[in-house]
Amino acid sequence: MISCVLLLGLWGCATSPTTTRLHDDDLDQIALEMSASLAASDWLRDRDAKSSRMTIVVDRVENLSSDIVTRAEQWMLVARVRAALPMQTLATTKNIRVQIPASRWQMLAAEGNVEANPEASVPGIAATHLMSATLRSIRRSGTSRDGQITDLRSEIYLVTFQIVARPSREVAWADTFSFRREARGTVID
Amino acid sequence: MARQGLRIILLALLAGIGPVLTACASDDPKGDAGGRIDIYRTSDMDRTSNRAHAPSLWEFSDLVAEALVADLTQIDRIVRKPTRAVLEMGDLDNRTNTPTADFEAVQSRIRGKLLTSRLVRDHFMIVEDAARVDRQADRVVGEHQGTNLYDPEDTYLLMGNFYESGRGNTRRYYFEFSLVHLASREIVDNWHYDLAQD
Repeated sequence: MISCVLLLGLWGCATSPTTTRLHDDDLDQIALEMSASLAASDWLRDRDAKSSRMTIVVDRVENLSSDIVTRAEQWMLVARVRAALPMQTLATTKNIRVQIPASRWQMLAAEGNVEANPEASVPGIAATHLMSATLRSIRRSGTSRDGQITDLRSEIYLVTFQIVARPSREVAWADTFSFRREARGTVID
Repeated sequence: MARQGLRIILLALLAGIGPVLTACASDDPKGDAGGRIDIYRTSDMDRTSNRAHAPSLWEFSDLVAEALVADLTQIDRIVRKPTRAVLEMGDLDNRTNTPTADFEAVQSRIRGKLLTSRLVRDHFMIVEDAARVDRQADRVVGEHQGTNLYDPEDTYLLMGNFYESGRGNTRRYYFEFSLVHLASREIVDNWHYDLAQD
């Protein structure tokens, strides 16, 4: 009983965020917004089954923000946008295929899971398009008290998703999503 | 006996809750926000920072993107071209205390807004940086076939200049983006933004 009370009390304290770092719901919202934008894009709408074959390979998010985004989160973010694409429908109605990255195939080959020389070139049609994302941030910080300790901080996050054609480098589709977080308190808090 | 046991439990309960409540109600400094705020609202963080206010950078990117779309129809050499011109993001010359990464974010946002305009896409083929595409292709495609380079005669760059001066307690900023024809180095169009901060 005492433990329950203590846990409830501590949980109550912990619900007040003290940081401008990205939250789980930020990552969720980014994936949702970008998936919806891609599904509604002119680029996708203008294609049909007779359009020239398009092969897309996905790269992880390039993190240029001041937040620490793990490699798993970098892959997860683009994977969720990719997963929102209906693969079979895209293949039959838009003539679009999605590939695994070459690095994954090389990993399989290196582990002996496929009969291939890891040094050999990657099989399959070379991707015609690259899907990737970039995360940036603009940070502002200052002090509210004696000018000695930084205790004010805000961060604008800007994430850009894009699909780029190879070898033309033309940006076939891109969209951005941004939001701002602020926090008060010293680092030790 | 049972009553004494109950008393011990109650005392232990109070002893447990006390520090927790004290910690919550303490006057010691604590982070108390972390929530989202309006990007366009100038906050205490902007006022106490020695950098250009973040909302001003956002307004500047809005201004450039909207002006470029509006001005495009006035630029004959681009509108009358039988094929689309190539638009690349150019260099940023940053002579301010504000990090270049902030202006790169501004440039990225402008590009994002341009890409949503049908008018812009009808007249420009907006391309990604060649080195970046090559780097990604090496990593995820597994082959390096090289990317296209374009005739400077057909290529335009969106370049940025950012300057700051401080006289007295006021810091003044001058931000501009220019549309530059690569072959002739001619500035075809220009959009600027003045900012003064105490």
